Amino acid sequence: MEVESSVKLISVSDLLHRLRALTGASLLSPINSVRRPTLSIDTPQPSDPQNPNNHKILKPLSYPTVLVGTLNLTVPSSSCSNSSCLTFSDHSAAVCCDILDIDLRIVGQRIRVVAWNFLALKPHGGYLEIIRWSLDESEENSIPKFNAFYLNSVIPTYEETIIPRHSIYGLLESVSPVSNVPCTTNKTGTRNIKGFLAEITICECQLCCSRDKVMLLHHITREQSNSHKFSKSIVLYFCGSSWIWYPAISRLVGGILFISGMKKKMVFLGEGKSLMMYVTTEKSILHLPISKSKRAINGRNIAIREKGLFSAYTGSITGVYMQGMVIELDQKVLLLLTDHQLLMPHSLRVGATVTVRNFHLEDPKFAWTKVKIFGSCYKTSIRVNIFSPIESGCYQPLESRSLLRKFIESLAFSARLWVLLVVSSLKKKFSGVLSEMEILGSKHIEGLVQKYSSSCLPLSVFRFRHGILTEYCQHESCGCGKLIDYTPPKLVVPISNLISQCEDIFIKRLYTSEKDKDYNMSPKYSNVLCGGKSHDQPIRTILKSEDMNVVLLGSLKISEYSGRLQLVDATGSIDIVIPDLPSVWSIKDIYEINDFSVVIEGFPQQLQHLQSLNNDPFSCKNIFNHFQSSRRKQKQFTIYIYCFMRDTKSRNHILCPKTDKEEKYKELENGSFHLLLLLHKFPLQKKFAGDNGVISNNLSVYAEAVVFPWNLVLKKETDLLELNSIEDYQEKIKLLNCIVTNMQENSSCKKLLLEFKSDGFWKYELLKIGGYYLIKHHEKDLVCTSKDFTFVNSKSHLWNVLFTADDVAGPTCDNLNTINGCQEIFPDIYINLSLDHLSFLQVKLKELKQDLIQPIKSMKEISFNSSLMVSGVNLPKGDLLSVKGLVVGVHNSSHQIFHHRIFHGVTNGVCIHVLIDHNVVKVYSNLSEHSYPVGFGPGVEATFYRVLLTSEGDVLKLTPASFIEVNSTIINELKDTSIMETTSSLANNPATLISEMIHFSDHKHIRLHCKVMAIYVLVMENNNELLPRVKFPLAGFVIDDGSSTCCCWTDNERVVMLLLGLHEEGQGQPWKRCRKSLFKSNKMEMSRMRKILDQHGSVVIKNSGSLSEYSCIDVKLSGSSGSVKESDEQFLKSLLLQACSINTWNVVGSVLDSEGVNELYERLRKLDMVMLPMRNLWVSQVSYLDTMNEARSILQQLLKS
Amino acid sequence: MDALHNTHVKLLAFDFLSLTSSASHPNAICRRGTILLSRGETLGIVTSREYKPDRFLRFTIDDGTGCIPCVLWVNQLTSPYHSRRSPPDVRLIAESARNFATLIQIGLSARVRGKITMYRGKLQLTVSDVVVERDPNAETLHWLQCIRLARKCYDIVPPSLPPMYRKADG
Repeated sequence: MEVESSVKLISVSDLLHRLRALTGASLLSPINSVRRPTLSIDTPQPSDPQNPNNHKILKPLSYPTVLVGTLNLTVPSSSCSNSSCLTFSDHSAAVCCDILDIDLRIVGQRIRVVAWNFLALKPHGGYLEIIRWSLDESEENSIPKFNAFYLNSVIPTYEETIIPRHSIYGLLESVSPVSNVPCTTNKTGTRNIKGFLAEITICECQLCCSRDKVMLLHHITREQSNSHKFSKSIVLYFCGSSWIWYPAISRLVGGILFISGMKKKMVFLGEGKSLMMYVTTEKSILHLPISKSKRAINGRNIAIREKGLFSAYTGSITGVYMQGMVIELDQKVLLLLTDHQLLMPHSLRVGATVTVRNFHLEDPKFAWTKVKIFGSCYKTSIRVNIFSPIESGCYQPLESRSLLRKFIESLAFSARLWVLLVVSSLKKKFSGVLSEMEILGSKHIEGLVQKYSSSCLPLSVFRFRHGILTEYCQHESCGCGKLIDYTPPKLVVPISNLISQCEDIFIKRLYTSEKDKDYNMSPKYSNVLCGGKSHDQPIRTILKSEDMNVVLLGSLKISEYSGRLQLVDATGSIDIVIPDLPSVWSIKDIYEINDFSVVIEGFPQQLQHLQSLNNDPFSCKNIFNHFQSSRRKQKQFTIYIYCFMRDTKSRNHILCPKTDKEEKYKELENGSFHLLLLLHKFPLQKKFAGDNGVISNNLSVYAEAVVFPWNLVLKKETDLLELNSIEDYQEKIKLLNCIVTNMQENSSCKKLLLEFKSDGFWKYELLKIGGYYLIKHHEKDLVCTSKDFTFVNSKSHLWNVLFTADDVAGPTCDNLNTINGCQEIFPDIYINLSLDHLSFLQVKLKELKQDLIQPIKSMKEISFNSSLMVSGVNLPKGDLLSVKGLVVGVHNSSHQIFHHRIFHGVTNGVCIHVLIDHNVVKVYSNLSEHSYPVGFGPGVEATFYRVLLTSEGDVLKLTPASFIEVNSTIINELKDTSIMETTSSLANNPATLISEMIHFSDHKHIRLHCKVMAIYVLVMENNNELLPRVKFPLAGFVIDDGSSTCCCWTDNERVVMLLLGLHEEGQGQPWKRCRKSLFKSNKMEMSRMRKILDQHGSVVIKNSGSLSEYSCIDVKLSGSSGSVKESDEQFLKSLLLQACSINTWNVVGSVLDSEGVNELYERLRKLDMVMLPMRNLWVSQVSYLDTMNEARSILQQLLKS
Repeated sequence: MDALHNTHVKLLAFDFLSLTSSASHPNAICRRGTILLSRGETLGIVTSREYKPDRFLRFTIDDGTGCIPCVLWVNQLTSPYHSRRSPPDVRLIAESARNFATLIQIGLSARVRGKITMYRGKLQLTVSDVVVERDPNAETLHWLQCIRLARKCYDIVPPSLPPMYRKADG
């Protein structure tokens, strides 16, 4: 009694005033529990490994409490319209409530609630979860007084004498939602009758079928009915006032129900269909079982009752998303509660254990994640078995029914989930950009989600909805839960999720490849050798959109941090490379990118400590919830997207109606235009774009252009032809016929510096060096008036043009090529020229293009001043030039000579290895990080504009004005590997043996570790104006590595010089000094060689084919102007002798194919020579060997074999 | 077999010293009776040096598995062997040989290439060129290369060899 006295009575209004979640359960001792067995207190908290601290346990009151009040069936209240709610009221107030294991005998009775949870419920209400209760002492005695309820009221009655008619005893299988059926009455017109359906399987045993209903009643109520077999399904219709029993009946699903006083009626379902069912009448009675114990249900088929409908699943709720439309169970199943009529109890909270009955199981077959769907229909019901001990929000289904909701309800389950994912994604992506109304729509207007989704979904996923009555009664024929075979559309993914996913895949691949060392992912772990040191190369992973099955939606902008083009949404941004970005792109547009590649690069050393996520960024949970990876702010990765605009489905008319593209094109309708040729772009300078600083507003970037002295005039009457299918380019490209007019007869071309302020960076980004641009002419515009400088504001548009002619075959085509250049250009407009204009332009342009430094394709094209070979001083020389080649390696460098002499304060630079015409050229750079374009790195083809040549010959230097343009990004991993193979993987594996060369295909890049054995042929030429002064049009060395011999060929001066021992004295090879005393210094040898060549022009040294010991002496020398002097001959022979006795080399080259061999054969034939009977290798690179690494890799190979 | 004929095979000393002269080819050397060799390369420490001015330099290279006797001729200016060459060529060869001879000093690590020859029934290397190795890793690399080449190249009997060679191998 002492314990009892300490229990405080708490009123409902008291709870409501507290306005916060509370529990009155935790302090209860077993003494207090009176009647009901319960599990709730001992409920383990549902584990949530991702967010262990996310959930707070309901706060307990510090003292035991009891609530005394009456449990009622729903009374319509203003605060809650959920028809599944029960009500608990005391003298002070009433609240919605739920109760575990409802016992019908307490309906309408005063009870003492001894264990409860209370949750605040918006807007002003609260929600009581009754865990344990006992009948109030005053009510205890009244229990035997009734054993049944009249259904049309909630009046308890004691019915023993009445002979029940049309009694139904069976298992309650399912209950439909409450529906309104419009009925016509004679007096008042139409009125709605509320009601709900219930499906009961009854027994057809002798007893149940007997007419002696009294005996049956006796049997049933006394629990003597264990032998029943429930097999026949019938439908009950609780209509009229009996619908108020819905909260009670819906909680009894799965249990036994005994109802009498029903009337059999044919009910019209609509659409010409009707069904015989039992309808409640005024005399219908709901009988209560006498025993309070849970009855074991026999004779019930627990497996699938109906086709596609699953009986029951019990699990705990681990997530509630999308305003209750999606409930996650046990972190693996998503229960969709999308039909607005389905009203579930508020107690469906995270942490609760529930049993779901009558659902459709579906595998949506999403390619991006694995998930199972429980699709709900009008038969589905959920019962809470254990209330959640967690302070999670009440389940409050959205009651308003927008167009979007109707749209979702009309879809198959997997498509519903997909649309819900789209909703969540788009809301996240465009929050702050578009209003919620624009994204979701309203009751009458379609939003972005619906427009987008309906354009993606096939017709087969849509289904007609028939209404509750029909779909409940004719479940199967309505196609509910019918599996539809279709490929789900791609996931619309927020950018932050995409970045996390890609990083995660990258890290996982890194770990897999590390574990699997036997498989040897060497190309990705490869190093590049430079200056005797090996340098790390980034490893790269390329993920294709088709493998990830995602689609990107976002807008484009120029990053104010890096000045780079980015794809952005509200969740994040990612660098993007779009080679064919049209100049009419707008920051207002939303682009849909279906086909893209994500390129991720990183250095393995920096990534070693990174852990992969145990959280799939593409999982439904992370799309529905806020997702932010912890890794994002660290800069361990380079990540960017590569895509083409022509692959982007142009859905701007759906996604963004604000497009101003049309307006921009209006500018082209008439008027005159300046024609510009872009000569150069100057990179963003380091001092502005600091690591942490945003580009300041007054920062400018510059480009250099030539303005042509004539303007292009477009007349209004000129026909505008729209071409829709130029190379499948979906954007509007206009073909313009124009007239070339001279502005001023004597005017000449004017060179201009174009200035772009930060708002015009995107225009700068679009410019391509060597491209033609139109800019509208206005009276006294800056282009006309200024002498050498013009400012391009955000309004003036630069149109990229490509010239076409009427006749595009034969010579015209060539002419066009000379004008346009052969580079890949994606113009905004084509300008059609007559043949006269074309030839006129061609002549003029040829003169003008002299200002444009065209990229060279081979280092041999470079011209030099003489006397450049000053040993040891590597000064830049000559004019600015542009080179184009394949980047094979990039590493940090401290090429001291350059940086300290030319650029003060720069101590650390970058050395870029570029493969130009089979020769590796080094490009030294000390540009800022932002000067390298997105995607620049090993494997790309790039053009280096305005670089300086150094006296080393094949070493170039980037200046602060140099600009790097990426011509082709590597978007294919296969290609990637092959390129890596050309350089760096070669350094990681042991050198190939010549005897193994037979097994290699042509063009295969290999590295040999060999010594020169003989010189077969050496053609030397004087090069009056070119550097190096000595050229070697052809050199053939016989090399030997102990396994066999082969012939290696080259025309690369640096390679020949090295093999002759005439290059880079001591550089990168600390052990080489010993040779110095043996022969005269290189400098003297070079000048002697030049003298010989000055005299002869060219000298050919031929070996008759002997590989004898002194084969280098037994050679024939011939100069182009007669025989070579004996002393000169001896000098040259001494060089050959030196070549055959110096150290071993790393030789990198490719195996010659038959075409190459034939070409070589022809060249030798002209020299009266033949091919040697051995394999031929075209050498691109020679270097000293990294002995330790080579030894280590041989050892590893030996240990494996 | 032919592929190795003009190749400077890299053999460890114990392997080198087990070579035999070929019965069928007078000037050729056999390895395990199977492959014909003519030239070799070794790397090791110079452990003995015997210089006869204007005649020859006799020295041994110890690679850790054995000692290979080497001879470097410096008699080109007087030898009838070179008489058919032009005198300037011979001078060039002689100068080169003398330079090599000065490189060979006891205790240095040297890489030596030359012809594998028999002298009084004993194997030796008639040196054609010499490089002094200052790289401490070079010797280890040489050992590994010898093992790799033996496994991948020299131990493999070409299927086209006549049966007598196969038998000898077996």
